[in-house]
Amino acid sequence: MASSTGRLYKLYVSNIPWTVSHSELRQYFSKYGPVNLATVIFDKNTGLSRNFGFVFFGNRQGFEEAQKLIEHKLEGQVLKVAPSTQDQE
Amino acid sequence: MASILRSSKFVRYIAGFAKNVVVSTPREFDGNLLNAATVQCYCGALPRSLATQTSAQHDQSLDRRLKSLDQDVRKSGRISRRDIEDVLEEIRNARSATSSQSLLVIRCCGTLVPDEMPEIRTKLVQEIWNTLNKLNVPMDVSHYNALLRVYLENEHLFSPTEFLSEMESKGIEPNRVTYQRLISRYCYDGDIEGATKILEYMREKQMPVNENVFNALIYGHSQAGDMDSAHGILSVMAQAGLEPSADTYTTLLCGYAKEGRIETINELINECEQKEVYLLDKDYLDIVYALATNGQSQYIPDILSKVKKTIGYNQDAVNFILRLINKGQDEAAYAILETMVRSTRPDGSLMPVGSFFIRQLVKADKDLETIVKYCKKLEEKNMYQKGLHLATEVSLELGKEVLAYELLNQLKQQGVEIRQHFFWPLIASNATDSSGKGIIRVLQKMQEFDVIPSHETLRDWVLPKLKGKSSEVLSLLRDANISVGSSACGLVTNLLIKNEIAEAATIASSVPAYYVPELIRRPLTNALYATGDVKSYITILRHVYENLKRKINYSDNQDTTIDGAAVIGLFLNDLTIKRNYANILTEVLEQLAEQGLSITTTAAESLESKLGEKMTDHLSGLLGRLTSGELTPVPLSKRPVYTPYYQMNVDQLEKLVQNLESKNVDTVGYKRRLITLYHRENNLEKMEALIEQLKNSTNFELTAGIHAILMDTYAAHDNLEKALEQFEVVKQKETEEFNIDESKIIRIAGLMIKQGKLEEAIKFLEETPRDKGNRGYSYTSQVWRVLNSLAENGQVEELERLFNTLVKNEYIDITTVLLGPLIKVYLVKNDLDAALQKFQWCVEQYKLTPWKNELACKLIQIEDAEKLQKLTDLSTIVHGEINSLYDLVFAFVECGRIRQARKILETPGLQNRPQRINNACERFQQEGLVKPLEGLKDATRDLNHIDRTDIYYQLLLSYIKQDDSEKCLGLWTQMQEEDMAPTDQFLIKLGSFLQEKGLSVPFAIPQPKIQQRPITATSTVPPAVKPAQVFSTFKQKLGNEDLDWCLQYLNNQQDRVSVADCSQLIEKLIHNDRLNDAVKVTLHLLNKGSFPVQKIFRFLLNKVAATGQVDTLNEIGHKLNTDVKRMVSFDNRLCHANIVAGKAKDYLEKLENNIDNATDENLEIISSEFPRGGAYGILEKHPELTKKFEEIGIKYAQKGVVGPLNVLWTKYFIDRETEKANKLWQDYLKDSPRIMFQKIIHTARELQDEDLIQRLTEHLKISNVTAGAVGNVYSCYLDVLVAKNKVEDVVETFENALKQVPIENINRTAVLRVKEIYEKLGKPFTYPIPSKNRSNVQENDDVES
Repeated sequence: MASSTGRLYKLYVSNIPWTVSHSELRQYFSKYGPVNLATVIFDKNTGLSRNFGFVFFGNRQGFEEAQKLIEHKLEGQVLKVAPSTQDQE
Repeated sequence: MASILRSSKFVRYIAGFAKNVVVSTPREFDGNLLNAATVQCYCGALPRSLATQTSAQHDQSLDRRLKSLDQDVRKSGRISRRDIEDVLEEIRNARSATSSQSLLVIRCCGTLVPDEMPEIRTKLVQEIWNTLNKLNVPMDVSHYNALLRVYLENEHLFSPTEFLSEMESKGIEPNRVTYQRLISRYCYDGDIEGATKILEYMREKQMPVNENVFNALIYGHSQAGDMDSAHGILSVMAQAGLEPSADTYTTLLCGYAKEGRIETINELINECEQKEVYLLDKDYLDIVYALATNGQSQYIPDILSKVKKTIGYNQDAVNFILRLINKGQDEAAYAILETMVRSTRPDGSLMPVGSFFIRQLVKADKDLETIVKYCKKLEEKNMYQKGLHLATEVSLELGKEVLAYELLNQLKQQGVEIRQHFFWPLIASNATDSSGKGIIRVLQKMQEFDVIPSHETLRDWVLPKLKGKSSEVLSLLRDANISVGSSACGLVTNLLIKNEIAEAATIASSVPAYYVPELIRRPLTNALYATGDVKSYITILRHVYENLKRKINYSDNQDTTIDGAAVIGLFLNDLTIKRNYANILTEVLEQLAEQGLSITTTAAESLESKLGEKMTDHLSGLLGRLTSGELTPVPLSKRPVYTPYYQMNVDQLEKLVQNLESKNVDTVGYKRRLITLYHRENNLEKMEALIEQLKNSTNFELTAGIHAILMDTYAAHDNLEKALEQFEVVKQKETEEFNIDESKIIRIAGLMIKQGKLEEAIKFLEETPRDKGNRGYSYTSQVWRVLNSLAENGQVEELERLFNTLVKNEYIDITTVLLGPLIKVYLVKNDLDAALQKFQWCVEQYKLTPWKNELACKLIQIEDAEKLQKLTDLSTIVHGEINSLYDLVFAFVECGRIRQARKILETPGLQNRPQRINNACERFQQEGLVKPLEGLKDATRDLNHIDRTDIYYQLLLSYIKQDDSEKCLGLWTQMQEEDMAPTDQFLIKLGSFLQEKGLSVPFAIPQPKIQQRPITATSTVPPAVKPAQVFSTFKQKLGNEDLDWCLQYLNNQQDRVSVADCSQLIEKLIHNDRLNDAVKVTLHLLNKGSFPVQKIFRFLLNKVAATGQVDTLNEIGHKLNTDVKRMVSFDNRLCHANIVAGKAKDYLEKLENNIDNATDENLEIISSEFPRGGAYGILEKHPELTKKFEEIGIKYAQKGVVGPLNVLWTKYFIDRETEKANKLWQDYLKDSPRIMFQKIIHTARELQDEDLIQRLTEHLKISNVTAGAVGNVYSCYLDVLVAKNKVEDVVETFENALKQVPIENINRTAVLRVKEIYEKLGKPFTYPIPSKNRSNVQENDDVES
């Protein structure tokens, strides 16, 4: 709103196993480039993982690298990865 | 190879055909008699389909939930308890439910929830039942029957006599279905005597006894341990003329299973096969269930070896496994699990199976040992790898804390890392414990697993749930061994989130701790804006700053340098997230300066650039710099508009030509265009006149193209001679490149054939050089008409010659439609052999199946099984097995051969194609084919993958057409028996029909939609002692027009009168010219928070508006919310009232005032309050206000609301003020996503103004509107033409319309009318009739919202 720093390199990640939280998600995606923020969404009322989350990359390269791989697998589960539709904030 | 398999399969359906034909006459339907019996298997009720399409008119979220329940049932045959509880909650919130919605929820509480224990399900249904009673939802015998069924499914041991007396006390008479279910209840106990008593009572009452009862008796005898008697029922059935069905045998087999008589079981299964009774997989699973629950598990492998594992087997298996686990039969459940079919992944490996198994083990409270055992087993067998993970997840989900710790321990032993968030669900599930001890216990447990609760855990999960003073919270956390630092930081963050900034400041200043800047910053900013408490803000900031050095303790990175000034800068920059930060920033900066804190230059620069034009002298003084910027808004310029001549229609163009000629402008170019348009309209007269006129003008040349057009028009007018004359002219003119459009050639050839000159036609086709144009729909139908004319006359040879010529010369792209005549020509002559041969040729040559259904029906009628087999084989090659089988089903049904149809539908693994069944139903109903419809109902009975609501509804419509109330009511009873919930649509239709016939209605008729949305919660009627009687007195008085009595009664006993009755009173009062009294009753209803039935409410508002009572309307309006206003078009009435009262100008000013004062927030409401329909009235009655209106409209449009200008455009358009209309269109409307032109359609329809509607169709061609809208306009166009009996124009317009929109978008009734015209003209009508729903959707499409 105040100042738009341009595009956000934001990935939408789903099918995340319940055992994975923010730090595991960040660690996994860090191999593609610097990760500013990685977050898994939890249900406020039940405390359970909603099995999806977001990864914000620090640069375009990491953002694009991460999308190149056809199958992301984390703790035995295949992740679904897509650029988040809200790429401007 | 595949086809051999296939045909051998078909033999099964068709083999018995010849011998069955003699005995199986089409079954007569009788709502009450034996053959309509449904089958119910008693050894374990199966999930039936909920089979409902809840109509969209009720509370939407409730409906949405019910709909999703329904879908779940269809997909998997089960739903979750949570879903039901959600629905119940929804009902509680809405404080109402319709009769059919409640029926649905009740029925959900049985075996549809296999993963819950039966006792829990019974509790649930009782809770629902009580809730419904409390809400005074009308319950009838169908609800009691549904409750009975759920009780039976849950093996709930209720007392039949008590149940009956409860019904009696409510004044509800049990019916056939009630007694059948009570018999089952006795049979469960093996109480044959009790069952027989009821049976005798039924006989006395002459109620029909059907297969269900016999199945129950078999069950009863086997429960009593008397298998001989159970088996004996079969012969009793035979005496009654009933064949035992698969369910009968299954019930019997389960009886033997209980006793472990495996040999008898095998014998019986053989018997079934011999008798062509096919046991389904779920029947075998029923036997397995009976074996397992009666200690006969050793035979389970025998039975499991018999399952066929057809499609749907896995779902059945899951349901049985869940039930078996609940019954404590883990081993048997596991045995079934091992038989499940596993699909493969793309890489060829097997998909895992068993997650639901583990889930259910946890849910059913199995001990750790059992769970671990099966997890290991599944892993060893390579069925499911991460069983323990899953079990842990489920235990967390369900809040099974003890088990969860045990499982976590297991995981830990396996070397799995135990993480913070594993414990969050446990903390959450302990949140209800207000002492906080539960949460502390979890925190302590975490540390046993070496997991130190993190900031996040504390901030997001623990602190928000801990109640009490800050000091108490801190001491609780100390008990949990949490460091004071972590607690304090978390606490401060949480207080800030709750905007308790002062308390947060107190904590921060008293507890020295590292207050993590990243965690605190944003909550602090928000709290400052919420409270304006700069002092506390500064205090906290100060302490953040002071404690930064503590960070070292939290960081592994020893050389982290801490730049305090930078941190403060970040906090300040964060303040700029709000738009009005400038003032507060000033204050903060002042106080920061007082505090002696400094910020970095980078931060200052960043702030400066953010401040932009908001920068003040004072601020710049504080920051030391200033920048400024300025923007000049660029006013929007308007563009001129006109319609290019090539987009004009005939009218516009004629006017233009006339106009230009009067100004002596050359018009030849435009006239050339006019000729094309005349050709399109097939207007020979005008064309000839114009050409004659043009011949005289100097600068006009009659080109070959124009001659070709003339030729075509002559041909279309059946004037072959003149057409050929023109043909020769064209030929001469175009010596070099002579060619003619295909469609023109076909038209002339067709004309020749019509006149019996086939040879000439063929020569013409072969020799005329041509120009391949676009082969649209009309071209194909043109060709078809020519072919068909020969077929109808039975001219085989001529037809073949023509067809071959067309193919050889590539005139046609072969389609089913075009091949049709080739078959038809033989059927006309009744030569089936040749027809089938030709059919085969079509399949082989073109992979198309023309006239298949007609052929199939003919073959069924003459009972030619061999040829039918051949036909089906051929069809399978093209359409695949499933489609061909469905087609065969409908053909059988149409010919009354229900047994054959059902046999096909019972095919294990026949996939469900609901759309196909619904289409068939509707076709039968429309064509008045009641028998086939009844046949379809019988043939689909009990096949729970098929949604049969539509069949019932269409049947109801048919019976109403036949005026047979008994059959109508019989349908309702039968639906109870089959455990189907009638839709509201069904109940309303049936109820009003019965009322019309003066019969009593045994259920509450659902009320029209508006009442289903109670606005306040106080509208429930307290139960009176004998409400029914009071109501009926009121109704009676109302019927006798004793309105004064009613009014008085209403005044005294206002709460006793239902909304429906009040509404009726209102209606009667209006009819008696007592409008004021009617308004009073309405206000009385509104004050109670409800409102009259929508239809009557509208009627009342209309009347009030027509008398110009603006004040009264305003009074009513104040009591309505936006939704209701929209539903009754309140603002349109208000507008109308103002017009009548002569206050149109004032009213317009009010609207203007509204838009002048609109803000972003209320713009939507203001937009909705503009009377889009009524405003037209202002324009009509007060043309002098048009200018004013336009000004206001532009104001609206500038805020993005184009509705008002849309109204004005409509007015211009209707008044033929083309220029003004076009200008408005170009300037404001053309890009609007939603254009209203309903008024134009109305006007055109009313005045039968052909020109108007024609102009609209032309206009829409250049507009951005949906196909639905275009379809709507064409529907009107067609209706106008039909009304004017312009039959040929109808045909032409219809074909034109089809070029633009799919037929589904055209109004169904319009299409039906067109069809009539075709038939009158003797033209074949080969288009599909759009389904009802579709056309409804389309009609609503562009009605103003």
